[in-house]
Amino acid sequence: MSALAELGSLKKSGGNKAQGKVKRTFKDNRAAFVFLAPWIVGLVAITIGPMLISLYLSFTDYNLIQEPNWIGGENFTRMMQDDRFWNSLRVTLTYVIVGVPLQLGLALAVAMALDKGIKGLPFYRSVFYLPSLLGSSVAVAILWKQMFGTSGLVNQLLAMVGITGPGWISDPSTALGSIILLHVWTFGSPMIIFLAGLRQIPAMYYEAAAVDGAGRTTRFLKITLPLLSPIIFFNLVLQIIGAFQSFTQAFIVSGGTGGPSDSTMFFTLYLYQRGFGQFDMGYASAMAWVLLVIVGAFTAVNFYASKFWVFYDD
Amino acid sequence: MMTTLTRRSALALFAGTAAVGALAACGTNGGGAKNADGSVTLRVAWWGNDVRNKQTQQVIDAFQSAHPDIKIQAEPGVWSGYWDKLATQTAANDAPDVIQMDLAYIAEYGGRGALLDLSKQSQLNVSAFDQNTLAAGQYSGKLNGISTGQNALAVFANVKVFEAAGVPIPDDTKWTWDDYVTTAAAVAAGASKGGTVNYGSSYSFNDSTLNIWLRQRGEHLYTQDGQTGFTADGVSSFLALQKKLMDSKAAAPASVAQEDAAAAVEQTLAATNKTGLSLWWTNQLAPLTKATGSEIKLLRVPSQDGKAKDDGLFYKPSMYWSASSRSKHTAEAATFIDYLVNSTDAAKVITTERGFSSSPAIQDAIKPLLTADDKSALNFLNTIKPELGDPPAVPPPGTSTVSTVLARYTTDILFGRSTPEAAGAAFKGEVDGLIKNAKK
Repeated sequence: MSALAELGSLKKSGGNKAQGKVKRTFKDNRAAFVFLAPWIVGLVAITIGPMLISLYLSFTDYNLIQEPNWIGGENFTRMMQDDRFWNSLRVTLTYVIVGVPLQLGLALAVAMALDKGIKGLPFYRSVFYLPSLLGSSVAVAILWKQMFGTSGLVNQLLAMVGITGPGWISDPSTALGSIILLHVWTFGSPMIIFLAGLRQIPAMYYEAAAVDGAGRTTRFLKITLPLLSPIIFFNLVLQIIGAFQSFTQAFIVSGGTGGPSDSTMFFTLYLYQRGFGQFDMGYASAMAWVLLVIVGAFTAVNFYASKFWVFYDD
Repeated sequence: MMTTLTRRSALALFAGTAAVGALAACGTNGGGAKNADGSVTLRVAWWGNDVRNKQTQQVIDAFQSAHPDIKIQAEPGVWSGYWDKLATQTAANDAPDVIQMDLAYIAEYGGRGALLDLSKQSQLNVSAFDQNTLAAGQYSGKLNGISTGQNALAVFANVKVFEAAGVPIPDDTKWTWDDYVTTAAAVAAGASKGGTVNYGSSYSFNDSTLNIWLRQRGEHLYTQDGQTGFTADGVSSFLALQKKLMDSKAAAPASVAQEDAAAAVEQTLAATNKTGLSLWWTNQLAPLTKATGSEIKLLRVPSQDGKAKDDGLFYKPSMYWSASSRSKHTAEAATFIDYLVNSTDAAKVITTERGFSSSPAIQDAIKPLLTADDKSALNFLNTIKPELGDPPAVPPPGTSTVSTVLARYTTDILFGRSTPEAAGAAFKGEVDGLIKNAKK
């Protein structure tokens, strides 16, 4: 963190001197651009180029095989009347709104438990981080499918205490919940970031508060949360963006169908089905841009709201 | 000193994360022209299993030694990923030269000009095939593929399960769907004992089963001119049948049904002896016999009026060989397809793995090589031959996903989230929409 801060102050002082010396600045920056070149080439060729093409395709009837024809905003008007589109949006929003807070809450709780300086911390940290490495992988989604089957491990355990479990991932009323659970379980990466943030909070604040008679709850609310708020904000923004784009888990657990009954039909999964299953790539491109706007809107609201609750120590 | 995040470093953290996400890889494509030694390389793609992959490679090897100027680059795959890959390759103008095709997709590709008109290829001789076989590969006047052989949908009766249940195997020449439900319920009740669970019948709600049901009512899934040829009522009654199977305990509860539909063949309820009756294509007899360890009797699909001639059965091309219209080596592709469908040497390796060829020369050549399962399937195909109606229309572009649409509505019904009446109308609306959307 301190290296980043120093970089910030360097830039600040550099900015004042360089006024009116554009040529000199370019010469100074030339080396930087040379080093950045591979990334810039990649950005233009692999990210921005395809994005612009997909923007064009979203106004066409492109079907992967024949040349695209311009159809104006028809893909977008079709979307408005498409029940399955709205359903996929509803499923994804549920996943984001339920999954992300649960995951962050769990990550913070575990990080605080690990921050107590218990023995074997590196071991526990690795163990709790492990699901994040595996969580978005195909193997774990397959494992999940086995565990939550009608005669899977979870129901066998429930049977021992006399409960007949439902078909967790084969029943439309519980399938999305099972996938949210898989998402919450992969709390490792926000946890590691929380842990780093907790380590940055000076112990003297807590000591001073303790002397003044503040209990654990007060210390958490008045010291930990405010000082951790930039980290919480960072995790929140990233996890929301990630959750909107999640695909693998639903794809594998539902066998690519988004079933049962479209209950796990994520926005990205529906987009994929329209594009590659139904040859409706124009529509799929239009969906991708709608998703970009939605994610952008969520992030903008997040940044705006952060003014009221995120506390920067500068 | 700085202890917690500043605004500026927080922004830097976001920027760094974005940069990591932008990392990606690129690849290159091989050219399409001749190789240095004057030979031509053909890319051949198919989906299948280990047995098919091995057999096909053997045929490829034999072809290559007979045609030293043609090299074959095999691209075997599995069904689940095959179509996504083919769609992407076709979009990238990088489709394989020779493509194994399916009924559900042949017009999807052929109707959009992605497949070569095989009737115009002099290297390919189609004289061995009858009119119906060729018609199954035609769409809008083009021959988009040659059927590798045919199958029929049959009710597989697991003899071991029937014996355990003490239920006689029904007479399939005059059984109705009501008889089917009653029989399955009796099997479920009789075979579930001593901790063994039996569900009676598996569900079958793919588009072909629906088509047979519709044909029994005088309707069709699709018309010859590429529209839907059924009423909402026709579909509703089919969905009501699925619900009746579940409600009368002649088939598994909804959750189990949902898992069964997604299971690999060897793990299905039918293959693990958990149902006595199930609907399969005749070429799946061998894997089912092997998995169940039981004798399996092939029965006609029940009819609505108890008359076998009204059971709506048809021969389905089990798959096709097609060529890409953008192939740079159309003559060689046609030569290879000709070898695959006409050579008795190739047929002796493949035998019936891709269905029963309708070419008389090939039928004679493989006769001594048929296994007991093959003979039983062939016998079934021959028995129903006089009862077959007109072959069904090739599904029009836009409809390759109709099976999953039907599965979705059936799941809604089984879980009580919709009524057969509402779902039947919604299904028709959705399929009409798919066809309309695919039109340019």
